[in-house]
This record gives sequence, structure tokens and C-alpha cells, in this order.
Amino acid sequence: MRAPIRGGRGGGGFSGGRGDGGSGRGGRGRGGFSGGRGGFGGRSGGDSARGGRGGRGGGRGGGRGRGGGRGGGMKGGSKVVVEPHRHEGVFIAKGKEDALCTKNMVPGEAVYNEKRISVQNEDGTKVEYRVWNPFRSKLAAAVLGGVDNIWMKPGSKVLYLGAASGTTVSHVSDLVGPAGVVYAVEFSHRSGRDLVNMAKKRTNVIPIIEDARHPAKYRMLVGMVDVIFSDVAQPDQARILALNASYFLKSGGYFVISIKANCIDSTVPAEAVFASEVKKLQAEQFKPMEQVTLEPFERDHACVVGAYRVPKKQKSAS
Amino acid sequence: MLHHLHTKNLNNTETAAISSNSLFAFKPRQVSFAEHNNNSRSNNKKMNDVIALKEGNSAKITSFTPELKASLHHSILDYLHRHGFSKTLKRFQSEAEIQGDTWKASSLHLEDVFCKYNACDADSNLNTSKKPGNLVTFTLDMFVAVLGNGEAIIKDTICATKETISKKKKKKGAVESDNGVIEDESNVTNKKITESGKNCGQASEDVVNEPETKPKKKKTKHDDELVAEVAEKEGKKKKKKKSSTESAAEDNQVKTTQPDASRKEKESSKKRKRSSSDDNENPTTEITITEESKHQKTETSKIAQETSNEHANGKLEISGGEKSGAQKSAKKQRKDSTEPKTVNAFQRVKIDEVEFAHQKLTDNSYWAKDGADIGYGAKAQEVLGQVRGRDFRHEKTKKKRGSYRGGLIDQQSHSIKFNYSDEE
Repeated sequence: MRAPIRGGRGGGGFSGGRGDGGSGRGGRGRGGFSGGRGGFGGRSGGDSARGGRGGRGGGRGGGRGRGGGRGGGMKGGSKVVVEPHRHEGVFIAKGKEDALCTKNMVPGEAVYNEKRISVQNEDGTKVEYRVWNPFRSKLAAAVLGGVDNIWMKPGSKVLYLGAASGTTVSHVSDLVGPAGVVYAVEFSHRSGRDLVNMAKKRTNVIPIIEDARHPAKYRMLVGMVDVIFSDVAQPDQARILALNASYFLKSGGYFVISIKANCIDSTVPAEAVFASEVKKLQAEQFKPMEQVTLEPFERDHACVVGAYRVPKKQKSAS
Repeated sequence: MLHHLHTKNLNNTETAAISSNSLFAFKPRQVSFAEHNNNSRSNNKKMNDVIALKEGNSAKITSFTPELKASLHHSILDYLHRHGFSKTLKRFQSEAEIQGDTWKASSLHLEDVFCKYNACDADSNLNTSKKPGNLVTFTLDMFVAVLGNGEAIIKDTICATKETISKKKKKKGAVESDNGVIEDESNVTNKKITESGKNCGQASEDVVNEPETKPKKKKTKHDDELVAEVAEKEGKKKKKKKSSTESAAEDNQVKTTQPDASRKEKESSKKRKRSSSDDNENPTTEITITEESKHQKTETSKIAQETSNEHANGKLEISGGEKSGAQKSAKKQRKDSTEPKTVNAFQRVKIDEVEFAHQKLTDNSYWAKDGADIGYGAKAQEVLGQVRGRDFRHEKTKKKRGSYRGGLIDQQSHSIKFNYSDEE
């Protein structure tokens, strides 16, 4: 796999964009946070050009290392090393503190004002990573929670139910890369607007503004997929997942479902809700394989991962 | 308890004010009815006790001579005097039109009666702790309340009447009744429940119409009757709350005689008969009470529902214009009546049917997870585990800004695996 990439001053470093990620080169507005890059050329540390970063507002004079006076988080200018995660397509930025990230498919663009990490390879090519915040994304929370396999890797085709504004979708889009495709289904027009805007720049995202309960409405847009990720948070989410799986999920495909206990029954303990949902899934030809809590990133959530219409011979393997 | 009742009265005063308008006359009553239903169903068993008691009494309305009545009054006065309820005493004396101090010679002490009664009812030991003094103070209070906002109470009480009647009918097929209205209605060939429902409708209608036709402050005779009835009903409600059968009987006795004395004699004499027979009948009725109350508890909401339906229909006959309102309120009533029954009814997840595939699945908390102590989320858990609700959201929003530093990310698998060894 990839060797850990050394990020020097020029190479690594979180760059937190704070502007709006929506239009053009958004996220470049707040120089005070991530600036100072433009003038670094005079420094000895820069071993390669950071052309793309030129012209940013100059705020941080100190630049190198952790800036004094700021507390917490991944700071611009700190040295980081980006390592691949156990899950293909996911990376860990190892600086003073670790952060989960994905390789940005659209370098220079932040989707939701997340921080970005630019890394210079030895051969001079530049790679940008986007920090994946587990508090915003349940998939990230599941990865950090230690899920065995998310079954999404570069080249995968993913049906994403409950895409919302496309925060997690953008990371899944990073994860599957240009070879993969993400069908993002979201019913709300308001958040669907952000989703569509995000999808405009990411060629592998196909936004679908439809009710996930009626997969027949978007059957012409979606091909067979390898994985279904479901984050619909509806009382009948098991049924919704099953319906979509019957349309689009290949046999032996996988599902990842995030279960919010309160959305199903808030009067009983969350664990009981999860158990009953797992049972429901089992009745729908799903084979849940693992469950992981999303605490502390979400409250009373669990993520269940499993397979769909598993052939008999494969069962022993899994 | 007292406080509760008073607040309720206050509420009802508001609704009564509205009810003077004929358009809105129906709804507030329904609302109050609903309120009362909620209230009474919680005390269902006690209510039933009361009803059974009442029935026993009505079955044995024996001759209650004026002499007996006078002696009863005397004993009550004596009791009030000895326990220092001077205001009540004066009031009662004036309203019962008892002159002089002849009552002081009354040999019958209410306490003695009460104690004796207690002694003979050893099995109903629950209620013995009630102090007669409390009862009387309560009576006084109630009485004042009745005088103060009698109308408000009427509303309240009609509901009570409705329920008591319907239950009574349901239980024993009621031949006798205290209102006398039921006898008028007895030609109705429907089931007993519907009969009672209609009866209730009539009774309550009277009350609603009353404020329309007459100025509120000036009580008419009819109003007074109702108030008297109200007082008794209130007493019964009270009883049911206390869940005391024989102390309640005492209570009833004291209470009913007081207002009745001030009201029409015809009405009051009837009531006093019943209340006096309380003492005689209680030992026999109590056995039935305990048996029947359970059985009746399950049926109560159904009855109430039916009653309300019937009630709505009865209203329809009189004024078709209120059709929609009546139906709506009936619907509302239905919803209300099902509510207590379904306190824990709607659950998507049946908690007792849940079985966990793995022992670890029984705990979803962070610390139950493998590798939690050094995990990336440990620091977040320390913060977020402390807070709930709005504070949780607040803390989580802070984390969402990207300032979270969780330390090292380990790449171990910490998920709980489902084991499928049993199937193959």
C-alpha cells in the first residue's frame, strides 16, 4: 500500500477553509484561519511549490507548527502524516492528533467547510485530503467505532438512502473514487438543493430527489449496486431498505444501516430497538453480520452491517 | 386533594363562562367531561366502590322518619360543636332551621357510630385511618365552594353523574336510581348503557341551558336543586378518592345532609334517606364492591365511549346545528377515553419479545465497547456522556465544528459480530 507520506511545511498541514463551499473557489475567504500560505515561499521549509494555495488571505504569520493561542482541532500549518486506513479509500491524518479523512476528489474544494490536508508526494504530485468529522457523519462514526468492514472501496457502486445535504455522500464519493458511483437519494428539497450542488462538482454522485419508499420512481436512474447505505431514520427503515435492496442490490451485496433508536420507538431501551430491527432485517433476506454503537458521536444509534441474499457457500466464508 | 378539587373548580368556572353562549355551550362541557373522565378513570375502582355502595342504598330506601332526621341533624350539630367547627355549625343550624340548644342533648355521638361501624367492618381496614374531622373540614370547604361557584360545579358534577349512572346501569341493570330521570327514560328499549347515556345527555343539557336563560348570579330553584345534587356528587367523588367505603359513608352522611337542608325538602329528604341507609347497608355491599370493581375497571372506558356517543346523538336531536361540534367532541372523547387504556399500548418494539443475539448487544453505551478507554471517542464520551437533551446538542455542535481532538485512531475491529452457527 501507500507508504506514509511525509508532510513538511509545504507538504502537509491542515488547511481549514471557512468560506462557503458552494460556489467557485469557496472556502478561501477566511484567511485568518488557514492563511499565510501565500507568503511561505521565502521560508526554508517549503520543499515544493504550493501553487494552488497562493493568494490566500494571509493571516497566520507564524505559520509553522501549532499556532499559539488556539485550542483544539486540527490546525493549519501543523505537520501531519497521512496513512491509509484499514478500509480502502479511508485515510488517517496523523499529526499531533489523528483525524479521519478521505482523498478529495475535487482538490481545492471543501463541501461543508471541512478542513483539508494537502500532501505533497515525493514525485511532486499534490494530494488533498478532507477531514471526515465523525460527529457529522454516521459512516465516519461507524468507522471510528471499529466496524469490521464497510464494504465500500474504490470502484464500488453505492446506493445512499437519506443523503441529506451530501456531507457523508461527498466522503463516500471520495471513497469510491472516479471509478465508483454513488446514488444519493434524498426526499427533502431543501437539503436536496445542497446535495445537487455538491453533485455538480462530483461526477460520481447522482443525486435523486425522491422518496426512498418508492424506489420504482427512480429505478431508471439506478443500476445494480454493491452496497446500500441507509440513514433514513424512519420507523419503517428496515422495510425501506428491503424494498430498495430488492430493486437495486445485487445478490451477495452488502448493506450498512444506521439505526436511530428514538425514531423507531423511544419508549423502550435503544438496545431492544436495535435487536428488533436486526430481527426485521433477518426476515427480509438480510444477514446482519455485525453491529457497532455510534456512541459517543451519536446518541442511541447503532450501525448494522451485513450481507444480502448470501449464497450458501459464501456463508461459511463470512 | 382539596387543592386539586379547587383548581378544577376554577377551571370549570372559565368554561362555565363560555357556556353561557349557546354556540359554545356544548364543547366546554365535553371538555370538562373529558377531564373528569381522565380523572375518574384513574380512580376507577374507588368510583365503583361508591357506586356499588349507592346501589345498595338505593335498594334499601327505607322509611326515614322526620324524627330520625332531626336526631341525625342534632348529632351532626353536636359533632360540629364538639370539634369546634363553629362556622359550619352556625350555617348548618340556620339552614336546617334548628332553633335552640336542644341538639346539645343529643345522645348519639357521630364518633361512636363511626367507631362502631369501623369495628364491625374489620375486613375493610384500609379506610379506618380517616379522621372524621378531616372529612368535615372538607365538607365545609366543599360547601363553601358550592355556594361560591355552584354553576361551575354543576358542570363538573353532571359528568360525574353521567359516569356513575352509566356504570351503575352496566353493572346491575339498575332498576332504581337516584335522579328519578332514569325512570322517565326507562321506556327506552335500548341497552342499559345507551339508556343511561341518554339520561346523562338530558341531565347535562338542563345544566347547559340553565345559564342561558337565567342570570348567573341569581340562582333559581332548579339551579339550587342541581347544586344540592352537586354537593352530594362531589362528596361521592371525594369518597372515591379516599378509597374508603365506610368512612366515606360517614362523609356522605355529613355532607349530603348539609346542603340538602338548605335546599328543597323534597329533594333532600330523598337523599338523606339514602345517606342514612349507607350505614345499614355498607357491610353487605362491600363484598360485592371488591368483586365487581375489578371486572368493571376493564369496561369503564368502553362505557364512557358509548356514553359520549349517545350523548352526542341526544344532542343532535335537539339542535341539529351543533352536529359537527358534537361529533367532533365525541371523537375527542373517544380519543381521550382510549388514552388511559393505551398508556403503554403503542409500542413498535415489544420489549418482552426482544431477545439479544449476543450478550454485548444488551449495552449500547460507549464504555461497553471494546477498546473504549483508548478509543478516539473517549474524550468525546467524557463530555457528551454528562449531558442530555439541549446540552447534548450544544456540546455536539461544538464538536461538529471540527475542533475535536480524539487522540489516536486505532484500526482494530470493535464491532459485535452476529454468530450464525446455529443455522446452516
